[in-house]
Amino acid sequence: MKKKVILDVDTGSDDAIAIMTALLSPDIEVVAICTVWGNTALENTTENTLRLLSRMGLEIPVYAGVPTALAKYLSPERDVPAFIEAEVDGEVVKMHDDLFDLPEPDYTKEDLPAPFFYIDYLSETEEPVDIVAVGPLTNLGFALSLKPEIAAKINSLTIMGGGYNVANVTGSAEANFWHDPEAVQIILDSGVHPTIVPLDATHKAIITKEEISKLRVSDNFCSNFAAGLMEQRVLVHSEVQPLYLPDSATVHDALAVAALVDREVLQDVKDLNLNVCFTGVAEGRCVIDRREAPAESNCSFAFSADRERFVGFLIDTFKNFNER
Amino acid sequence: MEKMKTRKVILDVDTGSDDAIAIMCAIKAESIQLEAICTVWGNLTVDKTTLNTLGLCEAMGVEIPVYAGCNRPMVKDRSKYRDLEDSYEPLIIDGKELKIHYDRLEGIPEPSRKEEDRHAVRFYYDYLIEATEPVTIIATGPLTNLGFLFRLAPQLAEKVEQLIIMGGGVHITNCSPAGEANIWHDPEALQIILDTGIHPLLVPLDATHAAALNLDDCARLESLDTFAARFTAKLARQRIEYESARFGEYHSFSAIHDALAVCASIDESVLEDVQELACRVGLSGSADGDILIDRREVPEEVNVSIALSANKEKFVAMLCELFAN
Repeated sequence: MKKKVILDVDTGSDDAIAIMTALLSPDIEVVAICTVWGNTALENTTENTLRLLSRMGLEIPVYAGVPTALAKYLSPERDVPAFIEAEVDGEVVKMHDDLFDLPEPDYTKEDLPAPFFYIDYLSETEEPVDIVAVGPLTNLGFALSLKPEIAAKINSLTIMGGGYNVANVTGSAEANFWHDPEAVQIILDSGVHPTIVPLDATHKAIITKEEISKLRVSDNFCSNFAAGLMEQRVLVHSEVQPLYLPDSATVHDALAVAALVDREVLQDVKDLNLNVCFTGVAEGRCVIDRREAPAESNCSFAFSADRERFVGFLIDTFKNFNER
Repeated sequence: MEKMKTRKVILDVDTGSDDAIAIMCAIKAESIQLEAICTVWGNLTVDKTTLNTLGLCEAMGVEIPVYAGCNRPMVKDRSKYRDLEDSYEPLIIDGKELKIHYDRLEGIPEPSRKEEDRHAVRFYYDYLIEATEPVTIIATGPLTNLGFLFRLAPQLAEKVEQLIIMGGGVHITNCSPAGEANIWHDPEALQIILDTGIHPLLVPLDATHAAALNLDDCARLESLDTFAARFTAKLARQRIEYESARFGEYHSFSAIHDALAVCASIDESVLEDVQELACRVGLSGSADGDILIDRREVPEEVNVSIALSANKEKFVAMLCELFAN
């Protein structure tokens, strides 16, 4: 039976690849997509999601969520801009363009805001639902604050975010966690026991330029669009965030979707106690309890990933798109 | 008292002794059409504040819908390192613990109805999306419900004609050296509200303490011999007993904070020294929950009206008039 899945995204280049991965996977039925601010403003992440789904010939309901962090930007000292871009041949290349170069969408978002959708859907559903969240965690933090009892209705929650030995947006933090650290803490406190797919895993499961050209062999809209986004990411990585293989890119969010279908793409997964720091130089940092007798486990944390398995999964999955 | 045209009002309360008096004021005021009561944690947990609110409505013979809201701050208690415990030890006199808010309001019936199914934040959202007429919100507990609402949908601030908040203190605090309880419980929620540009009217401790009730005022209310007047006097006496035990015999008076906010919506002249100020909220450290007035020669743009005093005689007269029948 297909897994019923809700995606929570800030589309976003790697979010788009994650969405397509989920929609093309024969093991997943995407019941809704919630959007959140993050890589770009909420209007853009929502519009990008609608454009992508429309272009794929789908009309999956899209619920727009919370436009900013629960609390972080209320403190001027915490309100520091952070994004990743590079100058290549005199032109600025961003990790995430504000708007995708795709046609206008065929349909509009739902009226109901994402946190209320979560509350209504999870309160009513009698089937297990899996959630994959790959942006700032504000929507789920909001919903779990209002109705803590919905935690029991979440079959699994897979989160792309955080980093232990790898950071990106500051010396200590990964972007999704850094954008809304309190929201992550609310989830960790809720008893949902998420699987965390951090930078430690995603910076292992990178894709090279050669492999991207293998993806292009499928030559359908999805494989070509994904390949284009990945190539743009290769440019930015090579310039400002070089990885352990030359001419390669991370595809963070897609690894979280892959992990739901094939848990073996993650490696060195440990149950542990995690807290997120809210202040100072360690803002957004994953604080793992490293004592001999740590506090009770509140998540599973993937310290590595199987790169070849993941890349193979992506190339196979993107063969599945058929124009309607 | 000066008659105003009727205004639609939503109360947001953590009932709570002074909240109970505030609710009765709103029910009795001819100028107020009470649309709904939202509850929140604060003085007590939200299940208790909701039960107290329902029981009080029943005692007053009204069936106003009650929506239960949040039971903890937006984010404050997620951090172990913030100011989370109020500074007072339990007060035991003759083996009995005195409280300013007992778990259950005494002398009101067990409610025969329940709260509505919808969460308070969802109620606000739906109500304001659909509202075609102006509405006033009077919030006398921690501001968590409104903080979540405006975090999600800041544009809905435009649908609120006036937001009156009992909370904060400029020259007076209670829960901590820097904080008044409602704001100190959830400082982020007030900052989110201020950031919407809604320009609330803040009724802080500076105003409520200026209008504190004494035992003579209690006797005057009792002489009216209505349920609302007697119940108000009883709650006020309970509060005075607590405060004089806590702070000393000279302290034989008690501020009925939340009722002053409702009276201000009926007749704003009960407030005095109302100033237009620029304000931020302290979100960490020793200023957690502090109302930080911009004190520079050239302050930031004003974002709040703050009443620094109140007319006590007028307040007591208003209570007596509201509760006379």
